[in-house]
Amino acid sequence: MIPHIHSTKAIVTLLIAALAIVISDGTPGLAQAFTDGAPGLAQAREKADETAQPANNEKNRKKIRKEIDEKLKAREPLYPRQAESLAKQYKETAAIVARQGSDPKPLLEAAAYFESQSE
Amino acid sequence: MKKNFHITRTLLASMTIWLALTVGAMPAFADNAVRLKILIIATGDVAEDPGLAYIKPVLEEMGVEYDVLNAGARDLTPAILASTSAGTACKAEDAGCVGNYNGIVMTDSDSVPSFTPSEWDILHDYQKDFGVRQAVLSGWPGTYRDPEPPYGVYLDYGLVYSSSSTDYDAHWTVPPAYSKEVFEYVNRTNPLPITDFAFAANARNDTNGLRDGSVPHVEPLLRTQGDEALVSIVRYMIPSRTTPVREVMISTITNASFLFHSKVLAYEFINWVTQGVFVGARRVHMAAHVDDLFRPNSLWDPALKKDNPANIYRLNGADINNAVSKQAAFRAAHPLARNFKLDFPFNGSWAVVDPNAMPLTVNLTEDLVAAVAATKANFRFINHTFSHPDMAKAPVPANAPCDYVTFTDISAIEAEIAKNRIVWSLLGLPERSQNNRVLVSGGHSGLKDPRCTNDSALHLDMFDVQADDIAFDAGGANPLFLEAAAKAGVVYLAADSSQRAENMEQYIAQYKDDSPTDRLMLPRWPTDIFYNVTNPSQLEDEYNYVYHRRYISAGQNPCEIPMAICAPRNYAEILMAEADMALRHMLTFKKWPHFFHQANLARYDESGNTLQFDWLNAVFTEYERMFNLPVKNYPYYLIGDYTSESLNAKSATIHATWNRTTNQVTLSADKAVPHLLATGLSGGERYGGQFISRISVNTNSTAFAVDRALTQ
Repeated sequence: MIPHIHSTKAIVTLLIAALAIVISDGTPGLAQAFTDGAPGLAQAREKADETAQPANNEKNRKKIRKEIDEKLKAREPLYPRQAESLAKQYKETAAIVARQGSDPKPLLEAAAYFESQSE
Repeated sequence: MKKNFHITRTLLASMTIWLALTVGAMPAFADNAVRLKILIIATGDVAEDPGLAYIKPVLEEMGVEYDVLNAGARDLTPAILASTSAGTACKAEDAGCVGNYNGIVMTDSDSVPSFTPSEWDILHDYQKDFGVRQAVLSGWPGTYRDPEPPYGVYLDYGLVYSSSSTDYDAHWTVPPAYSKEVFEYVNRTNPLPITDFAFAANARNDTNGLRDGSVPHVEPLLRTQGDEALVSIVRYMIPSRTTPVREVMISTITNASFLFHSKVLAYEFINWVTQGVFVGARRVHMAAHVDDLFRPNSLWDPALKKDNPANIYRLNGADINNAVSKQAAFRAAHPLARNFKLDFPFNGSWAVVDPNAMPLTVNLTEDLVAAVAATKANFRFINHTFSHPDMAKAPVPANAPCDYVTFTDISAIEAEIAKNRIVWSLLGLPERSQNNRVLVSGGHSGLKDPRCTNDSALHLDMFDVQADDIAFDAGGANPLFLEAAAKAGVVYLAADSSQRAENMEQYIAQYKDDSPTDRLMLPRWPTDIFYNVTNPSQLEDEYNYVYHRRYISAGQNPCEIPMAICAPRNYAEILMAEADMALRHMLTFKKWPHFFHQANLARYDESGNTLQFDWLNAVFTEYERMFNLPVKNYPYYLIGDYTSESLNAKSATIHATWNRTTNQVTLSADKAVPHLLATGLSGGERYGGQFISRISVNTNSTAFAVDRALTQ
């Protein structure tokens, strides 16, 4: 069979940088992408990138993780009822905490959170 | 509310007196015996209690015995925890008294209103008497006073609430004294994001104690970025002793099966409460099946938004040689996967000179076939049928329009299996005899009935061509296929875990296959590295079309559709999402492989990168950020063997008792279990800092020495 790599070579070249972000942070290939232009500026950008990239990766990873958590939560048929139970429990704990003379506010906030989740 | 609250209150008064008399005189942990079983105290059933729904499948996958006490429906009594053969409550010092549980899991920290102060006292008494630990999966880090006699604090985790959030960047702070015992499997150098509701608290570590005289001493294991405790060990101390009278691990993070952080934490709740001694075990697995070796397939066309039959791809010799070097590089880069091999389910029809000729002759002059033959020792192979035909039921009537050709007799299906075995032998591929018991049908066909619609390009009126499928559990499997597989000696059949009723390991007993034994279904996980893509741009385009753009084109809002994504992702983000999902799969401890297709192994750039190894590298990079456990990479036939062993063990009633005096576990079962996994017994494989044994158990009792490996 004839390989069909040639047709996408240009796009692939651009994507290698993106891939390198995930697979091996700070690889030389990725750094080279920022070394065009004035040497001082390039170095500064490279430095800035070294600092920003792990933070961006972490931020992006967390964002995606949260998105997946939320998607899986939305597909869990029992969750609305479970969240409703949690809301009820936290309200009951809040009542006990209040009777004991402590602040029930965090528990009421938790109850509100799970109430919203049950909808 | 429960019925016998007044009874337990009376009991409480007498117990309090007893507690006051005995707590000071008790040894650290009494020399006594406990059954190896966990008691889960839940606030409801799985439909109401997310903690129960979370921990139950983990225990089941690991093969750990457990009971559930729904605190909302039943009172906890001393006899539930320890009783004589006559059913009356007993104490550790009573002759022949064995504790019924070697670990307690509370799904909620206070379990109000179901769990009364007297029930807490009963529970704490048992823990102190038998030296049994407790884990709390989630909840409020409060202190609770009994408003009724005998008054006083009956529940106190030694924590004071400090904040709550749905977004913490938690970091590990496991004290060195616990480093060989708790969260040993975690890479503690990296943060663990907490992505759902959690309370954070500060350790009090003051002198305030409970009414039994014990004082909680808190050691946080996982903290927020502000150093507040999220998961802690609480040791209940009394002044006259240096060892705790009771130990609890408490998490104030919401835990549920769908949360990533929960998957990271799950094992330790079980390991902690059992003190690392339990029937069952866990290992992390990864196998990657690259389906359709030798077979060409059409590719995604970004302009058409569907496959283009004119654009096909079949691996070549250079791709295979590249895979050898990429696999070696992958192993070197990821020591936790140092023995990793790709598995190739192959279709021999495209590896022979003439697929219709008999005898068959392999086409060693052909570039791909020659490369596979030359590099075969680097990979594993699986029978994927000779020509990848559809094994689904024939339509009724027989001449009804159908997207695929079907078989109407068993011999033709058998020939598909047998001819591929001949190619196996002709190519001299490794481990043929072991693999005779395994089959992956083309497209997992034969296990459901697509009702002749499986090509979306031919059914533009159908948004989802699978919507009308008859699933495996609804009678959709093809009995002819199952009978042919049985006749060919196939024992293990691959299934697609994304299909209804195919997402569990199960014997196929509900279909007649003219065989005294049943085939065992082995699910495989699909990924979003689609079968029809060779490079990142193709994947990006199809991924974003499938999960985002097609919903917009249909006038729907993808943000409101659980299967869809709100915004398109680039290749790096797709790999991040894929790595995240694969880790979630790995942390179920299931042995299921992930499946891909031959086009994914195409070398798409001058560096030899491939979608397949990009995926594997992304998964293992993320895995190693979180864990330090070696990843098991088994051949599929061995996955079948181990699955069969595990199902056999789960079908038996295991009796296991840990005698702390002799430090031995005595095991027996109601039937022979030749391969039972147990953790914390001397010998066996050292994995994640613990010993995992594969032992033989039968109706006679056998004693095994305990080794918790705490010094290694």
